[in-house]
Amino acid sequence: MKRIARKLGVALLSLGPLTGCYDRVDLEDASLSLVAGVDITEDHRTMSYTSIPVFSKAEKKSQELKVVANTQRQGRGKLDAFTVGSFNGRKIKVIALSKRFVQETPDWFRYMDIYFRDGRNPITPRVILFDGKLDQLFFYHSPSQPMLPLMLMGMIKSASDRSESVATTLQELHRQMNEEGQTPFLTQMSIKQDAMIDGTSLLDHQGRYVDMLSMPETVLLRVLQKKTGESVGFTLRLPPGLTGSSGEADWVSISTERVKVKIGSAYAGGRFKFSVHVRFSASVVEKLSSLDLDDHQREAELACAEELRDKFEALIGKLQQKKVDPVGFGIYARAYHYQRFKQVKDNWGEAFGQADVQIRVSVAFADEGSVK
Amino acid sequence: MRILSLFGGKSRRNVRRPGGSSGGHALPDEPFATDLRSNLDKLGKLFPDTLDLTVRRLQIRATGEDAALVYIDGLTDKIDIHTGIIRPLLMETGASGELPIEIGRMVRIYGWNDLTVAVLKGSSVLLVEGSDEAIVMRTGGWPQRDPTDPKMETSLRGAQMGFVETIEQNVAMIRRYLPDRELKFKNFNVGRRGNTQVSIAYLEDVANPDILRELEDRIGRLDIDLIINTGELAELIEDNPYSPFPQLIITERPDAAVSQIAQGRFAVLVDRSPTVLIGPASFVSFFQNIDDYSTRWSIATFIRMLRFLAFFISISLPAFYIAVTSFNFELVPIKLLITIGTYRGTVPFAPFIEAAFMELTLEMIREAGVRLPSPIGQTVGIVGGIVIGQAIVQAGLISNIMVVVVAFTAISSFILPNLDMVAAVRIIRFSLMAAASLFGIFGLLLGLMILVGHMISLETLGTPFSTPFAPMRFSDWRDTVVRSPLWKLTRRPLGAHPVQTRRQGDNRRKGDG
Amino acid sequence: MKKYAFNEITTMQFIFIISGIAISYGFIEIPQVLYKGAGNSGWIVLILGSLTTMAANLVIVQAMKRMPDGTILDLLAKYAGRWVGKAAAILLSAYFLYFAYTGIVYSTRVIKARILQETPAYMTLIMLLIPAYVVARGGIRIIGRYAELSMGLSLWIPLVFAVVWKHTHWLYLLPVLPDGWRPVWNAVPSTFFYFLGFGSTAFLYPFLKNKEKAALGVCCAQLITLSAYLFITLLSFAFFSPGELTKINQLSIYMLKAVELPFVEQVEGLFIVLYLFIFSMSWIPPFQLSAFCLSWFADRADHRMTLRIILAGTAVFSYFYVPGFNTSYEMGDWLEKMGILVEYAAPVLLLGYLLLYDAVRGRRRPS
Repeated sequence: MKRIARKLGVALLSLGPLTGCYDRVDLEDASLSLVAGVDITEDHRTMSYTSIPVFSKAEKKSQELKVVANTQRQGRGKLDAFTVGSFNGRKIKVIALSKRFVQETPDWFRYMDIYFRDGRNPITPRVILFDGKLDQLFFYHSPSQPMLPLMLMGMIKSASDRSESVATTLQELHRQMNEEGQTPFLTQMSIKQDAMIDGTSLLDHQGRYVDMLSMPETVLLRVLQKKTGESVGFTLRLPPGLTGSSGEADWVSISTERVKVKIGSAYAGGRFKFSVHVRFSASVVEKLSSLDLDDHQREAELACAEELRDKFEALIGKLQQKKVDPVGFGIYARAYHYQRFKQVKDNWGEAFGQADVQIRVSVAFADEGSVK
Repeated sequence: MRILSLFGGKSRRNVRRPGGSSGGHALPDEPFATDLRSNLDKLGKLFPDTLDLTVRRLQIRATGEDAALVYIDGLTDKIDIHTGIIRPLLMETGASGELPIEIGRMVRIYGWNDLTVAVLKGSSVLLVEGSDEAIVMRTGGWPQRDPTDPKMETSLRGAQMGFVETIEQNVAMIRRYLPDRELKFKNFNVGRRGNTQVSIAYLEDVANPDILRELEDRIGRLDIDLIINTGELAELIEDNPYSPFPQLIITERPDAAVSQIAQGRFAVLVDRSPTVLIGPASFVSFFQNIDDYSTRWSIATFIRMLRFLAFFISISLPAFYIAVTSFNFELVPIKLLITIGTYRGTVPFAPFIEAAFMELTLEMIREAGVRLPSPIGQTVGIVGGIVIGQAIVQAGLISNIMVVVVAFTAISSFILPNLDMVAAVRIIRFSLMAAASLFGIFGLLLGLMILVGHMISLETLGTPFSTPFAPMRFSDWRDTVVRSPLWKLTRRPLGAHPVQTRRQGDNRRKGDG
Repeated sequence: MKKYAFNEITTMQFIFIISGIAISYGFIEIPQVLYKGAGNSGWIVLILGSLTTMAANLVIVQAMKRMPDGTILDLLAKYAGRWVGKAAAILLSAYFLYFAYTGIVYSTRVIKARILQETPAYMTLIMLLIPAYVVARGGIRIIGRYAELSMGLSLWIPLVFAVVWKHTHWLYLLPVLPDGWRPVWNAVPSTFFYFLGFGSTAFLYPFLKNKEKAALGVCCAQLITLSAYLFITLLSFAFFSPGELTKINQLSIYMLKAVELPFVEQVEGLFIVLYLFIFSMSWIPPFQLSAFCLSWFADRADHRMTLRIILAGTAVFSYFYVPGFNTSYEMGDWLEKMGILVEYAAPVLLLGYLLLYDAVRGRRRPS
């Protein structure tokens, strides 16, 4: 009568041989692709790259492959032929796109469809834009670095923790691609002496590569996005008149304790107006000049604020010139001026380029350190 | 009344019950003859070839009548018989009409069945010439041991005394804790041949009469040859013998039994068995231990939580391992996954085979350790440890991670205080492993769902097994996953449906005290 | 005489059964439905829908007050004749069976799409029937306990979604009512589907221990449903950009895919299997109620036999055919139509009939 409940094991076991285990792939039999890459050949055919960890006593800990394929899925099929186990994309951690691929493939984002459509694929891999041919990245072996996926993940994480880089995940990219009021941005990497992070690539609404931001600029971008990590540091130059010294001794480094960003929006005269107020509460971590901060705290703060405002303005100017809005001003525009925004929503980048952005920065020193 | 029923035959219940105590000797209860000689002949026929049956003929000095004292040598206390019966009968000149017998408990009987039972249970029977009644004297003195500390349920702070094989002593131990008029014992004799005395102990003004009736009914209905141990009785009277879960607690600790009785539960004592059955038990009660109440409540709570965690780990960890290594490895963080992969890479077996093999090995080592004398038992442990920990891994048969999983599972199951629950855990663990090997994490959860479904459907003695979680009784949660301070436990848990719920008053000192 | 004594459920169990049946897969689907209907003001629709449902549910309680010791079927048999009762039993049995089947197919499809892609769908479905049998066999009382436990075991869900918090953009919720009230009003009926299941009140009522708390319980149940829905709706609206909301299926699950915890990656797989406890509320109680109606029709006290027949039938049928995801959505559309008839319209008619009946009786009696 109650046999089913109690003999759960028996029931399932007897069903077992009848049914087989369809979904079973033992870990060591799976070829887990940890890094996927897309590049294009000279004749504009897409190429799939992958990096797979090798679970054996082999000397090399990972295997890197490339094939030419029309779609990512087809690429997987081809990759399967090279691997010991069955190819599997459920654990992809990093997706690397070559700069050429992004520049020259119209509507390249549709190649990412497989990651969203297949319910077992992750949407958390970090997407990076690689400046160069992917051959360089995938067949690059630095003896001092761990295997490729761990190396990439580590680099992105440490840089983005310091706010010097973005860590755009595939989902984040998807959100940005589907967002009228914001343009996408990716981590940009290259290999110079060693693999390194260059900064942030800026894409337009269609996903075309537009320009890049350096790592210091990225810090400012993340501040405006209100996405800074624990604390960010700036090294600023104080005006000579204040420090009394000349040349090399003008530098001061601050580390923020708290960053408050307030973005206000308005619409007037046929264009959007944004007023941004950034407030830093920071501690001084390095000072080369002999400036007495007790006496001149106010002046030093103002000087820092001015310096920072110049930087922000330069960044905004660059963004407006390129007609991209990675900060997401459009989201504010939509939230507060929906009717106006509706008129320009199909080309927000253009509208942002004409917008009037006012920046105010204030800095307050919270701590000047343990020496005068 | 209680003493009477010890001798069988006279108990109301025995009369009513078909196939009762004397059923084994299918004789109608024949009265004694008045003639001693024919009685002794009859006795000879009833007990042929009984070497240890002693029949002592004697003449009672007080009355001058011939008499015979019948008893079984090994089951009786010789000093009692010699100084309490034979000497006074031979020596005393009784002034009154009473027979000069110096034994406390005496009963008159009128039939052969009663005599048989009495003699076989260690009493002496005096047959007197010219009388159609016999006198039964309680002279039981079979081999028995002194109460020692409980072997399986050791306690850090509790009493160092466990139940023994004689029901009278066990009853005495319970009474020592509860000198209360409301403590009642209901007696039964179970088993046609064994004629085992079984008694239900409970507090009459606390325990629920419906549950008592149910329990009485179940024990009363038993028609069985012999009950050797409490465990057999438990299996015969529990609600759902197909369930992996024990539904009655078996304990060898009087203090544990008494604490349950005080909560309104019932203890079933079985003669000749050093353990006591307690019901109705709920799932939670298998995680409680008498030590919980004698340690500080904060640490007791911590240990309770540890036990529930351990229960969960030990049923599901190997299954989870199977699920994540052969189905759902996307759940594992990447660095851990690479580590597992490196170890798994050299192992020739699928995770399920690997896990099943290791778990079976563990079960064997455990079973080997249980039955072997302790010096050899330790050797088994060492061999097992070395074999599992070292050789298998170095030979590349099993992965390191699997060894960690097995060790973790084993340790977790050792934390559980109740042996029957540990046994249940072992069964469930293997079922879940099988489920996980078919459907991965979905199989594991399916198994857990069925387990939950089964648990909430399970009833013990008509009360829900899964109380106080389903049906939810928040007031009972004070003594489940947490063990609230004792002064908070002012009410008895409702799980056993006690008729009197107030347990204690406000014992918390107020103010600055 | 009490027909359903010894099979009582507590008020809490009553609440959890009703809201459990409703929440189950609404929790996964409702954000998108609301967004399609009324944009980012969909959560207002939700509140209106919930109020409507609460009213409909109270109507059922009001009607059931006339029959404290019997179900809706007994009520119908008493007031409208035995054969009306029997017909209702068959109809309701079919309705609940369809309800349960839609639920189980939906869950099977989610599992098939996200966890067991290679395993045939029928096998997953049949596996899901095992716990259904184990629980439903015990009757309403065990269902009550199950509801309690599965809600209790699912209290972690808000915590998991809290991890999503740092990916949210609350500005997405502005502007409120960008296109006025019209789309909001129009979208209200589309939410009814996700509140269905409160019709079970008509069957649970006689089992309820404290009947005077029925109305309160119903309100609590609807509030629980509403708060669960509001929670997930607001969170998804803040998480997804407006362009995404219409493009992605099963938003709630997808949202968790964006989460990485230090000890578990791809939380959504774990979420789906653990969410089965709630999912199962959309099919276990309806299966039981379906069996209950059928055994009432056959005048049998024990519903286990009918339950076995129903489950075995489902298993056999599924062996040959399991609907796909799109079909399951179509089935949902049908269920919505039936549900609005059975659970929203019918009780009002019934209450009207009962009032009329009493009025006619009341007038006749003095004369």
